[in-house]
Parts: sequence; structure tokens; C-alpha cells
Amino acid sequence: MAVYERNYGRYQGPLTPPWSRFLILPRYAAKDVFESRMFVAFFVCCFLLPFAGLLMIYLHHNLAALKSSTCRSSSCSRRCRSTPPSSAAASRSQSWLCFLLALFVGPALIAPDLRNNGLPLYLSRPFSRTEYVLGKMTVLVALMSLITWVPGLLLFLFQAYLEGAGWLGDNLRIGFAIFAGSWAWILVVSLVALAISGVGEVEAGGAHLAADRLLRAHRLRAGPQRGARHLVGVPAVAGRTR
Amino acid sequence: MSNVWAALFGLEIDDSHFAQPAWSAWLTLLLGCVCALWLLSRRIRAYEVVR
Repeated sequence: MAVYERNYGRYQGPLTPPWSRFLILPRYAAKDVFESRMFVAFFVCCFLLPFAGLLMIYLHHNLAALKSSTCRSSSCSRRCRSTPPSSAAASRSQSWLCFLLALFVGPALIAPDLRNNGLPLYLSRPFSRTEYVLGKMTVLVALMSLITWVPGLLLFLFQAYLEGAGWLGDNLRIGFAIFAGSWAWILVVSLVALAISGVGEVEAGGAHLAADRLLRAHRLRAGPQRGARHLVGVPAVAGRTR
Repeated sequence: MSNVWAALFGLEIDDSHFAQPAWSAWLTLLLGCVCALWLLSRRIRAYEVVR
């Protein structure tokens, strides 16, 4: 059997800029997440309430459509406006969907890496623990933002456009409340989901396993996640641990 | 979180059982974040200490 000399050369390809390395993880995690049809169906359902809100705002400002529809009572007409109570109720509903989304996606973010000792693959590269957590959290934050403050602010701006001048300034508090409240909830839920994902891997019990099994049916894979192998342009540094 | 939403939107909380100041609700959320970060900092390591 011939034995050939093997030479290993240093990686010569382009390097990913340090500030954007954490974005590699959500890119591959998002691919995995959206492979599940069940999750896609759930994600689409999350937009039903904002869509209903869009219709109600439109109907309220379109008198012809309002008269032709069955929504003629004054109470119904009042509900078709974006007021603080209705916005708060909608935000609360979307918050619950956020929680369910975290239950779907959260446990599968860190647990497989810990279970299969995949963390050294990430952290042996010039990739810090903060960037790892930030990358994993970006998955949840991006998905939750898409169902909370992004449609909320779009609806707010849509109503401001239809109401005309002055309304935006008078009701600026609603827009701020949607944005600040959604971000507060998103950060808390994301961090707690990641922490449970990390701790639940060791404790091996409780609600995490239930969520983990639920996720395993449609998403979990054995072995470290693909993002570890795809830290593009970030060469491994042998023996470097943090 | 209901208290936080109510405080942000400037609403009255109907249920007196959950009536607590808004700052305490924010503080609870902050504590939750700090606890989660502490757990993550303990678990996310490139090595494992075997005793």
C-alpha cells in the first residue's frame, strides 16, 4: 500500500469579518427550523391575528366596505380602531405565541451541542462564548420579532397613514409600548429558553425533555449542528479553548 | 408581563390580585434575564471539569 506524503496548508480563503461571525449560526439554524412543516404551519398561524387587525383597520377607514359588511354596530366600529386596550390585548396574544415558538425552537438550539460535545468545535475557532450565545439567541429573536413588534408597528403605521396628520403624534405611546414591551418579552423568553436548553441537557428531566422530544420529531439531529462546520473563513486554531 | 403591558400602554389593571407596581414587574423580568445569563455562562464552555 502506497503511503503518500501529506502536507497541510493554512486556510487561504476569505475570512468572515469578526463582527458578523455570530450571524453564521442563525443562518444554518433557520434552515433547520424551516425544514419542519409543522413549524411552518405554526409560524403562518402566528400572522393570522395581525392580518385580522389589518382588515379591521382597513374596514374602519373604508366606509363603503364597512357599510357593505356585516360589521355595522357602533361597538364593532369602535373595536376596529387601534386603541391602547385593543393593542395591549393583541400584544398579549402575540406574546403567548412567542412563548410557544420558544418552546418549539429553544430546546434544540444548545442542547445538541452540549450533548455531543460540539462546543469545542465552535469555541476552538476565533469565536467567543458571547458570539455563540448571541448567534443562538438571534434565531429566536428574529423569529419572535417577525410575529410581535414588526407586524405591530406596521399596523400602527398603517393606521397612522389612514388617520392622517396628528394621530401619530397623539398616539406615539402605543407604538413605543408595542416596541418596548415586545423586546422585553422577547429578550426574557429567548434567554430563559436558551438557559433551559443548556441546563436541561444535564438535568435530563422535566419540561425540557418533553419539549425536546416534541422537537426531536421534526427537527433534532444527532451530532453538533451544522453551523459549527460552516464557520466560513474561520479556521480552527488547534488547542485554543476559552 | 401583564403589568408591564398595562404600564406601557397606560392601562388600569382590573384584577387587584395582580396589582403590583410596574417597577417590580420590570425588576422581575430583569432578574429572570440575569439568572438565565448566569446559567448560560456556567454551561457554555469549551471544556468540562471532571471532579
